[in-house]
Formats: sequence, C-alpha cells, structure tokens
Amino acid sequence: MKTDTRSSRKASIFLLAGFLLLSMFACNLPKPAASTSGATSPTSTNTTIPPASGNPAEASQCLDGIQPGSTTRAEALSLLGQPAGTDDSTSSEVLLYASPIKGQYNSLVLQNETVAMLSVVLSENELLQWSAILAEFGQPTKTTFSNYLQDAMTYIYPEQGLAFVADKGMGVVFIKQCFIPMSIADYLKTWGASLPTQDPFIE
Amino acid sequence: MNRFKILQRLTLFTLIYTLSFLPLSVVRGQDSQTITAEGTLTGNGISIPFTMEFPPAGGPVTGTIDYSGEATNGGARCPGTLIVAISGNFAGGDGSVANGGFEGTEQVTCADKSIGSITITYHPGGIIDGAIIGSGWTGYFYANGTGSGTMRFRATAWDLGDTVTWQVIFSAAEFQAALPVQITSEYIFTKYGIRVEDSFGGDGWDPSSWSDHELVLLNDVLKNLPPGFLEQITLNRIVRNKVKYNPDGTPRPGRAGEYRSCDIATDPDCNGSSSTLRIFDGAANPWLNNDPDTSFKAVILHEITHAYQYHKDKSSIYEKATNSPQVQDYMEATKPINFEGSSSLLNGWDWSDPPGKWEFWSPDTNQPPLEYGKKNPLEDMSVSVSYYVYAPEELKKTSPERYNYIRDYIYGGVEYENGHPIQP
Repeated sequence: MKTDTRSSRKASIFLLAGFLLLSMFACNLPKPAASTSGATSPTSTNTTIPPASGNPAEASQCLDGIQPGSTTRAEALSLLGQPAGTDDSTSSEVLLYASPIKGQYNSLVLQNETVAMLSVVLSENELLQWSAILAEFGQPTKTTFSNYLQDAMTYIYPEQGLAFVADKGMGVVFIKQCFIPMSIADYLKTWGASLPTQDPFIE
Repeated sequence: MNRFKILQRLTLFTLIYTLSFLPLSVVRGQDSQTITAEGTLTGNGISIPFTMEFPPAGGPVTGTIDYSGEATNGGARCPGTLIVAISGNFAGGDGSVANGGFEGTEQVTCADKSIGSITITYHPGGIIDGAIIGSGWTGYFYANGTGSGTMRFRATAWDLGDTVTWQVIFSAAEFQAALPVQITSEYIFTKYGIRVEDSFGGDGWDPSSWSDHELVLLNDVLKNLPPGFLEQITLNRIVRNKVKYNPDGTPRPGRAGEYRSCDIATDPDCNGSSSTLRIFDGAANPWLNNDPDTSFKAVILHEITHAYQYHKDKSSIYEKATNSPQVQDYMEATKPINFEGSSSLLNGWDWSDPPGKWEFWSPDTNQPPLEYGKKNPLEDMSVSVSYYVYAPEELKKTSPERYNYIRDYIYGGVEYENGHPIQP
C-alpha cells in the first residue's frame, strides 16, 4: 500500500542540492561483469564514476548519484530528500518520488539498506531516444510487453543492469530502470516478474 | 358571341398548355427531407401561381393552387377562385421524373347574370363532374433548383390555351443536401480531410478493404463529432486492416483497433503526417450493446480519442500523451473527492514500478465503464468517450464525473442519444 509523507517540497530542495553536489563528481554504472546468483544482493564491482554529463537523460544513468548496489538508503535520502510516499506491498522497502509527469512516480527499491533498483519516468522534454539506446547497447537481450501504454514494450539489458519501456515505432523512451546487473533469468524472477508476456491491450 | 356561348365556354373550358417563364420567388426548405417550390402555371399568356412540396430523395409530392383573380375567359370579367390540391410522386434525384393528378374546385361569380355563379369540381385524374378532361401532370426536378413540366387540366374561367406548362424554383442547396450521399473514401477525405485507405498487403499487413457499409459507419462517427473536434486531433489517415500481429508474427485477433501518433521511419519529426488509425476485423465483435455496427463505430471513436490525447497543434504531438493537458486534466477531473483513505498517492490514477502497472484508486461509484478502461488513463478516457456517445446512460451510472467532464470539456455541452447529438 502506498502512503503519503507530504514532503514533496523538501524532496525538491534536496534533489536540486543533490544535482548541484553531484555535478562535481563523475559516476558510472558497473560494467557487465559476472552476474550475481541472486539479484537481491548488492554486487561488488570495480566501478568508476563517469564524467559529469549534466544530462539526466543519458541512457546509462537513471538518477545522478544513485547507483544500484552501492548507494545506501541514507545517501539516497540525502540526495533526494524524503519520498512522497512508500509502497509496502512488496517485501522490499520502496520509496516513491514525484516524477516530472503528474500521477507517475519514480521508485527506489531498497534491500539491506542499499538501493537495489530504481525506476525513473522520463518527462516530455527528456531527449533519450530509442536510437541512442540501440547505438549504445545494441539489441536487447529480451523484449517483452509493458503495462504502460499500448504498443510500448519492455527492452531488457540485464547484464548492463538496464531495462527500458519504449515505443520503438515512435522512437520514444518512457521509463528507464536501473538495477544490479544480473542474468536474464534472474531478472525475470525479480524485477521483471510482473511483466506481461502477452499483449495486455487486447480490447 | 352570344351569352350562351360565353357560358358554354365558361362551363366547358379546361386549362390547357402554354409555355412561358416568369420570375419566380424561391421559398424556404422546410426540413431536411422535403423542400418547397414556388412557380406558375402558364398558358396563353396567363399565369397562375402555385406551390409544390417534394422530397429530393424521392417520395410523395403535394401542391396547391390557391388563386383568386379576375376570370378572363370569353371577355367576361368575373371574379373567380381556383383551389386545387396537387398530388403525385417524385422518383428522387437530379433530373428525375415527377407526375400525378389533382383535385379541387373552381368558382366563378359573374356580374353578368346570364352567367351567374358556377362551381366546377375537379376530381383526381382530371374528371370534371363526370367528364374526363385530362390525365394530370408530369415533369422533372433538377439539382440546380428548377423544376418544370406540363399539366393537363382545364379551368373554365381562365383560358390558358391548349398547352399549359408549369415551372418552379427552389433552393438548390437544400435539394442537394437532402439527397442520399454515396459515402466513399473520396467523400470522407473531401469532407473531413482524413485519408481512408485499404490495405493491399506487402506492407506487413494482410490485404483488407473497407466495405460500403463500413464507410457509412465511419462517416456516421465523423459527422457526429462535436463542432471543432476535428481541429483538436492529430489524424492523417484511417486504414482498414485484418488483424494486428505480434513482433513474433503471431496474430492478435483480440485487437479491434489502434492509433499510432507517429512513425519515425517516415516522420522523424513526429509532426503528425504519419498519424494513423487502424481498424481491424475485431472491431465488429458485438461488445457494445450487443450490436456489431455500434461496436464498430465505438472502436473508431475510441481510437479517435487517442488522436485527441496526443494532439498538441497542427504540426506537433505530445510524444508522451500521459503528459498532455487533455489527459492530465481528465485524470484530475476523475479523481475521487473525499475518497476514504485517500492521499496524494491513493487518489485517482497513478503509475509506479513496482508494481509496474497503472492503478486507479477510487470508490466503485467512480470507475471507468469497462474493464479495459482500467488499463491506463488513456484507455480510460477513450472507453469513456465511446460510452458517452453510444451508451451514455451506462456512463452516467458508472461515473457521473466522467460523463460530466466529457460533456463540458471535450464535447462542448453536446449530449447524445443512440449515437446522435441531441438537438437543443
């Protein structure tokens, strides 16, 4: 059940401060190294912080400064502020933050006090195009349906720790998901467990 | 000429044929089915006005001669009245034939007591008091707003000669508007600016064509949209396809229609030029009101509503329709008020992952009218608009909030019954 903590204004201030702070740093998501046996455990990898891009829409980043598998709960709250709500319907702690589109939320899933997965809704002005994702990552390991919109699909790059909800025909990316890299099998048992395997938009 | 002969002529004369043309006045059309024409009967230099009413699409014709004037026959100057009801039938269409008969009375009162007052009764078929005089009238009506023909009946008091003709004029626009229109793809493109296409195969779709009946249904949807609505959608073409296919090539027979706002392969700027609505065979499955025609039209309107959701202006779209003002305002308007346990996150539509799906938080008294409408706010709005037009009473029951919002902010106050606007 989602709940409302009524701290959206504080969250905005912390978010802005976080972006300014992190512009001094460069960060990178872990390169596809050996996958973990259980997707719920943080992966220990040699990571380097990539140069600051100032563009939160780059394919390889979900939220600046948030790195699945290493960013702690405290660090996340410090960067993003108090969430707008939480979701206690799963066994993990889920923090919900307002996205640029009203009614849609970015979510941070915490396990063992560490960010395990984050899902980010992209705004109308986000410049991330499907062609850029293809250019950077190639064809996805797996493609399946999405509950988001008719003709939107979920494109999964499990070993890069990435998944995208996009409309390939329009070239538009709606949502990007970042998680600890894992095998496709592990992904489909965890973050992808609720993805539809058939077109959910049958009238 | 002695008085007996005058009387004889006065009692025996019939209206005969003449040809002349006089300026005539156009009269108003009465309703969408029948129009009124005014004209004159003319013969031998004499003109008597009359009116006719007829349906341009074909059907019964009526008319009236209601004339009072000085009788001129035989040099006598006697006041007379001629009241004749014209009846008949028109075949319908430009240049088609009309014919029929008439009945009425003629009364002449002469100061000349040797003539006195006489009344002639005209019966259908031109029978006058037992004497067969003529066989009625015939002629043609044209889409240019004219009609003409001949009449065979005689009046005693007006010597119209051996040849009597009639001519009328009426509103050409009303005549053409009342004609049944053949609905073609060209007609729809001319009238609404939307291309209607068949699918010929070879483009990834199976060959399929619009039937004549389906074009009529499509036209019915488009013509009954509220005023100005077409300017608020992004829609370049409507294509008839058999079935939607999955990426793996398997068919999706359950998909009734789809709207695609942009195909970057042909429209990289997403300026609307590639916006396409597809109607599949599944659209005729009788899911609404148990009627395949209503269901077919409801699917078209459902997809047209998606075209409304993505519309930004004449040359651009919202690539993320959930962010368009149309959708955002709808989501706001359909949020429950004072929903028990509500918070900003449990009120109306929201998306988060997990669970990776849309959820609608609202009591049972405020829900989309169809289960499919619970997929996401875009489908909610499209389903609700279809119900607004084709099942309004059902929508009022399931969600007065949706009904009222669509009426006031999408349909400009226009309400519907049996799929057609209710006239104020």
